[in-house]
Amino acid sequence: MPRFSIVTPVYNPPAKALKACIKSVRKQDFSDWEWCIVNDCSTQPHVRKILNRLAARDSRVRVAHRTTNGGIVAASQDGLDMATGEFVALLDHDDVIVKRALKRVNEELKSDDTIDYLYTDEDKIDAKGRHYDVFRKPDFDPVRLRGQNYCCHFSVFRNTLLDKIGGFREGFDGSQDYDLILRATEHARTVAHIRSILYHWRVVPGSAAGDVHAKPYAYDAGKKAVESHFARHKISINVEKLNPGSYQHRFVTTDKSLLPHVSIVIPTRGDTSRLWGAATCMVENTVHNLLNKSTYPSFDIVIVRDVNLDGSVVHPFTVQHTKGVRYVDFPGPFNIAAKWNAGVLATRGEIVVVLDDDTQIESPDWLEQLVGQYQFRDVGIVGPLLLLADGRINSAGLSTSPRIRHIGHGDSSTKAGHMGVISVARSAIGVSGACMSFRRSLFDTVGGFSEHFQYDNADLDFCLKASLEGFRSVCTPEARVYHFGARTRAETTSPADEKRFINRWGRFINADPYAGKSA
Amino acid sequence: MSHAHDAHGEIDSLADLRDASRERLLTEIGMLRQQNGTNELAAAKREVLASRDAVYGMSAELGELRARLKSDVKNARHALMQTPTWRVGALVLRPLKLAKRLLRKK
Repeated sequence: MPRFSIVTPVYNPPAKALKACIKSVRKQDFSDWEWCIVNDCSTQPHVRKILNRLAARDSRVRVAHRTTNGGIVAASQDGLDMATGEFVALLDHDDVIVKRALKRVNEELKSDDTIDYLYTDEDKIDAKGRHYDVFRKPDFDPVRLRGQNYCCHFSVFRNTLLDKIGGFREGFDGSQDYDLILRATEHARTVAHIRSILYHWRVVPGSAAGDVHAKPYAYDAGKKAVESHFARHKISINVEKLNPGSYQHRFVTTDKSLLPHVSIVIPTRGDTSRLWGAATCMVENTVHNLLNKSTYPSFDIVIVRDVNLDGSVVHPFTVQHTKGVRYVDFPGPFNIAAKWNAGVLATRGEIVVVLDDDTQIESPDWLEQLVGQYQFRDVGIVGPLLLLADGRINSAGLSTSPRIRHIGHGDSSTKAGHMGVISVARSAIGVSGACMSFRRSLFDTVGGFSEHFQYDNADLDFCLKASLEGFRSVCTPEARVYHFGARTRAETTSPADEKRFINRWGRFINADPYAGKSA
Repeated sequence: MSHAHDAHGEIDSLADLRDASRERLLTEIGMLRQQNGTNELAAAKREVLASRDAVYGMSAELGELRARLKSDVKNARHALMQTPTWRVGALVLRPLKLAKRLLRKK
């Protein structure tokens, strides 16, 4: 049994591109492979000729000629049926893998026996052989995979896993690999990512790589694959196509009585500031906005207000009087983590949101979208897309590469970002404490926010502690919240907090598993 | 207004205490006990949180030290292999290594 079976469905590729593909496989540093090529009844005569000559020259190459054109799914499945290797690698008929690709993949697979699926970084190559669109991918992120097939090339599956899930499925033409990856990752024991460009995706006229509108049916199939994924998880969802290749999913609540109770904690001094030209008490505005705009059926608000030592409120303010608003007095010196902790300890919700007093929600169903993510058990923390007052992005999650920063800060919120990163929900190493929801049980387990961080990084520290417990942090653009007092992180950094952070988590600085060029 | 005459008010002076009825004093004692209990509970909860955070913090710091040690060892090894002594030694031993590899193949 060979180590690798390379599966390639072939249909009328340009001769030059097909020869380049063949050359890249035959020149591999690693020799224990077989190549299962399925000619899907190509009409151009050069294809059969080239493939037959190749099979005659190299005993590791097996070519099957279909008598009818069955399409990409049928041809790919024929290739899978021919594969006898321990692992199956998918290679398109006009693409190229680098010389060390199989050797590098083999090294990775040898390092961990539980790897069932593996993908690598990739770039594109044009007709003149020029490389561009380098895609440095994040480590495995099932959340982002629900919004786009970022794994794509070079994908290698354990053959037994493919047998288990039943290979490719009819009806997903053009996105059959996306459907396969979604199903494979649902069952894979371990998914690995090689941070190296081992695959060059060739751009030829009519290919999806060059023109995203070339295969519109592929995006319909992609939408179907995403819908199918959520259906397997029994989650009600509304999927829409975004920019080609990306899919928006909004959680749909059929029975609102099943939604968990949410407690919102707002620490405040009661300051007044200018908001869109008018002097506004920020916390009054935030609470008024929450009570009047949120469509979530069951939430309460805990306001943590600064009080003097004699118990009087530092800056008195008046919020809309309802049963769902309570106060916690905070008499100590400023410590944002301590204020959050004091507020959270007074909550009763299964899900808690900490929210700055200088915020305003844009999406009425922001809580539904945040809470929806918790239907996946590994999600512990969820944050929205935070916007500046002018509509640009304040924070699309936190990153530690190359330093601690807000992802997308200052970028347009109407654009998708590099490789569509901003447009879909995805994991991040952390989310901003300006608006962060989390499971109350997780808060209790990890000891809440660390009060060692007086001004900064308590949010990121909390997210990293959660990751030690196996919970991921997610940023979703389906919930949008304005953050008016937002400044860049660099302006508010406290050296003492930064030092403490480095002592705990320095190994993550410039090593964010979810950052590549895409973030 | 003296709080001693207010059935629901707090006793906040010695004069109030002297004039207060036994029933009033018992109510006040109950209120203080409850308040103290609540404060103690809140303090205990905060302490539990702080202790758990300390455990996670220490675990994180240990992970950090391990990562730094690994990195230091890697750097030290790299630096050692760049020294003239090591390079000369490797050069001298190369024929021996080749011979050993050939013998193994045979």
